[in-house]
Amino acid sequence: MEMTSAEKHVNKTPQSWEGRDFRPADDHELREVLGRAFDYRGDVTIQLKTGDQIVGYVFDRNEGVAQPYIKMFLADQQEPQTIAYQNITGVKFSGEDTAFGRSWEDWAQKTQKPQPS
Amino acid sequence: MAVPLSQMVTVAHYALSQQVRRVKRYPLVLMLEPLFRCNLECAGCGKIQYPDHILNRRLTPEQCWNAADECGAPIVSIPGGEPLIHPEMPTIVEGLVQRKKYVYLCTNAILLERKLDEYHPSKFLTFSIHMDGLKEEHDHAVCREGVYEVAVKAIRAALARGFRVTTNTTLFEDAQPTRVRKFFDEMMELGVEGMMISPGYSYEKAPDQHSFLKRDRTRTLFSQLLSQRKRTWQFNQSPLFLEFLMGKRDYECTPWGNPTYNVFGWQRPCYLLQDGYASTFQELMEETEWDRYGTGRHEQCRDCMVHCGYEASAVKDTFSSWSGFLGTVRATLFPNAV
Repeated sequence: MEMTSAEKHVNKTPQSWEGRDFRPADDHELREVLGRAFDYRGDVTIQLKTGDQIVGYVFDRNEGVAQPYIKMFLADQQEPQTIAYQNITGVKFSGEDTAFGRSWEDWAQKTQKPQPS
Repeated sequence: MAVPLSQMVTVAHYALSQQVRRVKRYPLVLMLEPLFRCNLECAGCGKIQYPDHILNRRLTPEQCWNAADECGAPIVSIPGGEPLIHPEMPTIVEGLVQRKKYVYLCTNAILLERKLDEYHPSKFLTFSIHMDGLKEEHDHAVCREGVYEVAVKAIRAALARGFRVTTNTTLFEDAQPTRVRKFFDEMMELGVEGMMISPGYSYEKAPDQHSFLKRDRTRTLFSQLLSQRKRTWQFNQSPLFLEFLMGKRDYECTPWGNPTYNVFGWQRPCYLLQDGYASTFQELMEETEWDRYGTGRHEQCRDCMVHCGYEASAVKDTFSSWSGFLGTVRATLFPNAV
């Protein structure tokens, strides 16, 4: 799977996919990266075969049908968009990884766990 | 009695009618998530990590009522996010109450006292207050000082106005049995109708991954908590589920027992796992590969003993066999009997 230069320098932590940019070479790689996009708790940028880009949150994917697809919510649209795998050429994890542990780490720095009295 | 008789009769009638009709899979509690936005960021929560444009989405009252009608479960639990943030929540609740659904509005209670005027006391409406322990433990769990005292004040105000109030408590690895038992005393002294307790689920997205309970530890902890139970403690949940948590019973997960509907649709397979979405409740029930999930079948189900998967199993046990029914009677009347 080809990675752009973005991957080399963006990640805040080794666990975060934020900033990574993929150009899958085949169907297997495409499924793998779209699976990651489905798990990702931030917006992604989908590169289409038409040359267009779509930015939004991938909340569903279905590989159990003849034409596998993802479903996305775009920031400025109420209804979700459905995009067939076959129309996708690239995926960039462009939005902030909101799942990357913020609260606990911040809280742990500020306070100690309570001691039973 | 923790749960009103009318609610018990409704649930019993519903479950028995499903059994008589030989319905293999039926829902017991609709988990309705009208929004993901919350006014807290608890370390054990994996529900709110989304971009802003997702957190700003809301289910409409019509979507909520349609989900309740589609699902048909007698109980509707409204978690989130923080439901009281939703500007149309009183309308949503009113419509559900008109449908004679028993509504559990789950809230951290930060906004409760100032919103009480927007709701009407009813046997169909219960405020289920998130309380994860005594002051120190609760404020620590919700990552903000002072929330426990706000919640206690709101509980008192809601009770004074005649609302049904329960607590819901998630317990993590560092739970201290003596402190939790003291917490039970404190909640019952406040006058709540009952308490709901559950081990925390290891959300993949939750920031604190070190504090979730493994199965053996869960059984040990809940045995310590619930053995030699005080008569004053009332639990607003199946007594057989409590025995399951104590390791006295073994159940398979019933992931369709608490189906979840939110801004993405009907969540597969359960309230805790996100393995995709169905457009309709029928599609969820008929097209989800249920056999893929549960302890021993799915990696993310390995240590789960959470109420949304196993309480429905316990309720089904009560209404599907004489041993289950008699066990429920015994566990209700004599909770400390072996």
